[in-house]
Amino acid sequence: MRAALALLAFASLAAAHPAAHPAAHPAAHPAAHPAAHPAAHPAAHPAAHTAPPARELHTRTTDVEALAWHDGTLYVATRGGLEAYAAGDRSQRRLFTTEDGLAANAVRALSVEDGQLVARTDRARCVPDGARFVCEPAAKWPTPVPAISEFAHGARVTARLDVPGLGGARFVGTAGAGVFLDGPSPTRLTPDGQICSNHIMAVEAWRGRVYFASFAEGLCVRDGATFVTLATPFGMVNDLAATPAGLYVAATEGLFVTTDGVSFAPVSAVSSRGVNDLAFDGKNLYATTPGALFRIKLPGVSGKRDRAYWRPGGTRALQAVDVRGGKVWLASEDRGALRLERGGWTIFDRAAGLPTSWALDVTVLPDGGALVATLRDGVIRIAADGTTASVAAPDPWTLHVSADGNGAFIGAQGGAARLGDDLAPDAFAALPDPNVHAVRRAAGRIWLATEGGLLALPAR
Amino acid sequence: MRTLLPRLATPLLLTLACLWPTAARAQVSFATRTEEGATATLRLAEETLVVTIDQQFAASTLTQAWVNETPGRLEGRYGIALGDGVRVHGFAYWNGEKKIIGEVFEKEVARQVYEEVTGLGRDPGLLERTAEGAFAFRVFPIEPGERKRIEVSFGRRLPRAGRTVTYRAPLGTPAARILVEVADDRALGGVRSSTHELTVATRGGKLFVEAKARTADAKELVLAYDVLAADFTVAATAHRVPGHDGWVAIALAAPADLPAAAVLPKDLTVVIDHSGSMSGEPLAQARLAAEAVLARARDADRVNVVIFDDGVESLYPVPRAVTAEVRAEAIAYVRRITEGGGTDIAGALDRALASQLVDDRPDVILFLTDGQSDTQAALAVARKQGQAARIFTVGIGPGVEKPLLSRLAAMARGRFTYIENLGTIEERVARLYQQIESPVLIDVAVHADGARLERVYPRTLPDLARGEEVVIYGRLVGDGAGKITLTGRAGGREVAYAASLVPTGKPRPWVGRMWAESRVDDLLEEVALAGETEELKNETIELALAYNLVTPYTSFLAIPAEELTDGAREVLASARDRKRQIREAHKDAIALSRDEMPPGDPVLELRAPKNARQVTATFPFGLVEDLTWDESRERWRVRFLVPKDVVDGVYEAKVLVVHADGEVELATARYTIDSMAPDLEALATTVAGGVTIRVTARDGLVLGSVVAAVVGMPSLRIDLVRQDDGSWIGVLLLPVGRHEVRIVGADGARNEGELMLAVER
Repeated sequence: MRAALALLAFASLAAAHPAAHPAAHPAAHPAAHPAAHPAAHPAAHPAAHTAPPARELHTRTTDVEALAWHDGTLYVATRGGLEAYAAGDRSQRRLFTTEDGLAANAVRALSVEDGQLVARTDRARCVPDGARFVCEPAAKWPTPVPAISEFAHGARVTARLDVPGLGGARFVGTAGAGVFLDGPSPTRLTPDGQICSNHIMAVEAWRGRVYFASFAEGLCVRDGATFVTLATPFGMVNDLAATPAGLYVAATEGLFVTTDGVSFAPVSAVSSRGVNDLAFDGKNLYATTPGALFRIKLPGVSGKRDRAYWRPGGTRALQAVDVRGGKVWLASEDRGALRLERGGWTIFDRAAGLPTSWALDVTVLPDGGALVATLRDGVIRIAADGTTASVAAPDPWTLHVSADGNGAFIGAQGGAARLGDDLAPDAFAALPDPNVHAVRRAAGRIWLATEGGLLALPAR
Repeated sequence: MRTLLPRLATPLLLTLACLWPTAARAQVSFATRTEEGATATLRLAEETLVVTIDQQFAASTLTQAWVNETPGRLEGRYGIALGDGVRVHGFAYWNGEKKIIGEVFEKEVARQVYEEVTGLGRDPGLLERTAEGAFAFRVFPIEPGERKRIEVSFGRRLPRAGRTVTYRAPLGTPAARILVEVADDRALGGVRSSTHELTVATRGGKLFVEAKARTADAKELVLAYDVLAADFTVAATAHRVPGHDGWVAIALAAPADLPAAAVLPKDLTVVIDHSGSMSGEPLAQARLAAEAVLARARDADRVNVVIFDDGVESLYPVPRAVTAEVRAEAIAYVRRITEGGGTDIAGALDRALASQLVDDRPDVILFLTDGQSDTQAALAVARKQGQAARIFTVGIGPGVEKPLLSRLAAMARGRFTYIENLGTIEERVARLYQQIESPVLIDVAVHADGARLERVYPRTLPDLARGEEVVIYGRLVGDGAGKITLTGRAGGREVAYAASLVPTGKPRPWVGRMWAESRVDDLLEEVALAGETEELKNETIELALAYNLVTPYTSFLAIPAEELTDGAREVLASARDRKRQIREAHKDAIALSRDEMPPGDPVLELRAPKNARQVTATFPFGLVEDLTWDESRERWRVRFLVPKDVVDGVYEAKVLVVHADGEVELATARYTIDSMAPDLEALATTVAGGVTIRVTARDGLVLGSVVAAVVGMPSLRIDLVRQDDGSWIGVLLLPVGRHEVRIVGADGARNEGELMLAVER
């Protein structure tokens, strides 16, 4: 009886939802959850073999905020979108995200009002409209009151739902482990193989695979159409660097390297924790901590010897490093950008005429100059001769800048853009979250790492 | 609303970074004067010293009652010199029958309260460090006829030489009542004193000692006893608290009476700083010390002398075998040394290391300097050589960069000796030489079986010399019985000494304290060498608050409640609330990587038991996150993001902790979102070669940094230095002419204010 209800419910949802059909909605999440959504997987559709890589949004739905039963369907509000399950049959899952009209992928609460499902995000109230959701601004969702929680399935229980009409089915939502159909033999409904976090900080291709560094949930690697989260001695990752000697990981816990893509060892050349950025110039690896820049000679690579530059230019708050064509540039919170010249550091900060001393990222341009991403004064171009100019950015609160050929990518707290060779911006539209921490071209795609999911676009 | 930043020491808030060995005798003083400024005297009417010694850790409490027998009100300055390696753990005074207990607070809290209360003419007690191992605090008022009681508690691990452990404490009167209790897992004997007659009783495996002064002028207690355990017995003492990793103290002593055959021949290179700052008495003393060392070199040794200022030269290309001629030549070379120019420690060290011969002998470098140098360059040289040579550093006088010399010695398994009193240099170096001439156990390492040993201090274990002791503190992971093993090479062969860690159930919290002190010393050294980071600072503060340690970030303050203003009371209540969380073993520290910030991504940390059932943070902008256990930091941590649209203000993140036993606790971390730029005021005064610039922030705002640079010539810049009054001063060197100077001051959240000044030179 339960199965029949479930199938009926899912069928009605799918029929009303064009996104359930891959040809009609290539942006559905085929790579993230192929098993969960076979109808949307490109492999299931003949046309997918010849089509260019589709726009994909990858989110993680293991953090459950709320559960609701409506119209024969279990709805699960998660930080990675709204899931609809046909009553516990995990093979019949549909994920609604910003690609489907939600205002944000973090859905805080669910309710049924006047016979209609209502999903609340932090600042919007969203209701179904045909196959999509439409949202309207709403008061900020209130801060929860700290509460003692039950634990189940190794995680804090965030929601429970009993469905008496479904043979007494009980569903349990958790913080981090997903949603379960409870009982003597609990069944996890949340699909495996998801990306490790909704907040990716860095993307790097290494030995034919693409690795993703997360804000607080370690590291994962794309494996075919799914993701594998790696067991790591670190959790808070800031950057990745692919080198012939291995994949290096800058983490709050220190600098690590893997040579097999599985096991990670600390790198002794960096004695400090809090490694926040990496750069590899083909010879040496460069790593920054708040207090130092480390130049590291890699095994098997003919680079210069190890060297540490402590408090370069007097900074106590280094943020980033980039090296290109022998030019070494740093970004810092207290000394702006710094350029290594003849063994000394030239400082480009507010005292030197920049609008701010707070730089978050830097990338070296082909002419030896640099683009500097600042906390709230946009992107500044510093030419090789030291002259400076503002560059148009999607938002003055910038987070990321990286060279892309003769152009560059910019990530900001209000969007992302690619700067052309003339440094004119071409904004990326319809992002899952406005905060973009990395933009990277790898494996034939452009990856936009936001705080609300990882968006992959066909390379252009 | 802004919070005030912690800042570096001011004259009113002099504190102890760490204690360096000194030769000072323990002594106590209480200088008093009338309100008119005339010198007055208090009578010490009563004094009690109670000491508890467990496994060589001595916890002492000295209580004194001083009587004002003058007709007027007095003010006094109480001073106590405790000597080598002693830390003050607490102090208190009485106003009538009311005991005012000193508490350790974050420096900024102490400063706020102190300034607010003194501004009203009242006088809180603030413990100041006056010299190495010496402390003082002001006491006021002392009314006519009043009996002013003072209490100071202090602790240290007692040094052991051979079998003999020695305890010293200052006394104000020979009539002091002295009670000493000594416990040890090892057999003890030979309790004696050069200063006091002792009455010793044994009860329950402990020694109980009463002491009475031998002479009418005894102002110090010196007590010694012998450890009767077999040679090379490892003493391992653990302290465990449910829900936490344990702590362990490990000690291994070498006998003082080893036969000469056990002493290894060595290559000794004496490096002497003869820079300009050494001119006069320091260089004369260093020459004498070097001569003494060279005279003591054994016939089987080789020697060399390297001298440096901003250049380096050596007596021989490599160390030469000691003969009468070589010894005489080396001493004559030392006697000819005259003062030179700058101080290139890295260059001298590099030369000394490069001149070592490649063989099996221990290479020993004795490095005497008074100066400061390129820290990172010197460390790089030491790092490059690894531990091939032992480096013993001797810092002479107050200008020494102690963290550098300490780290250089630690990196190379040597020891650092600080000599503040020039008159003792020869004696101190001779004592140091006794240590280095007889390395009986080298390449010392420690490991544990049945439990995991982590975060071990010192980071690098020094060689063990004849009659010396190596002491190690670490964290112990795992509840098993465990075995501690120390390994090394003695006489060219591998040796191992082991001790079992048998759970006794006896709490020994001093082991945790000693580990914390070692950890704080290491953190402060790291700050001095590599620069301050929020992570280093926060951990130092947490440990200091948890264990009542005075550091550059924390101060001891004692203040009667009735003297508090409402503002000070509020500040202290908040600080005590935080401290309470830290100090209760299962309910301690919560800390943000930044407490003043623009929107960004700080890390929230909480010290709570590893086995807590739930640790969940709720942030005011709606986020709820579970914290995860960080094994290396031994804390719960979560990284979170503050959205950019959060308006300025003070916010609180709440952290719910459900302990393993079901106890629930709610901790609070306050942070300030601040996006307002500070307003600056600046004044420029022409001086020879440039201008002196003084900058202040309006509205009493505290600045975190101030930089001035010449417009159009930004390489002409100066980092201004903070003054005690909160202003910032620097001298900007300028070419002749008119210039525009851009001044940028940043507050704690790194918001920047800017000011332009037209100056002329």
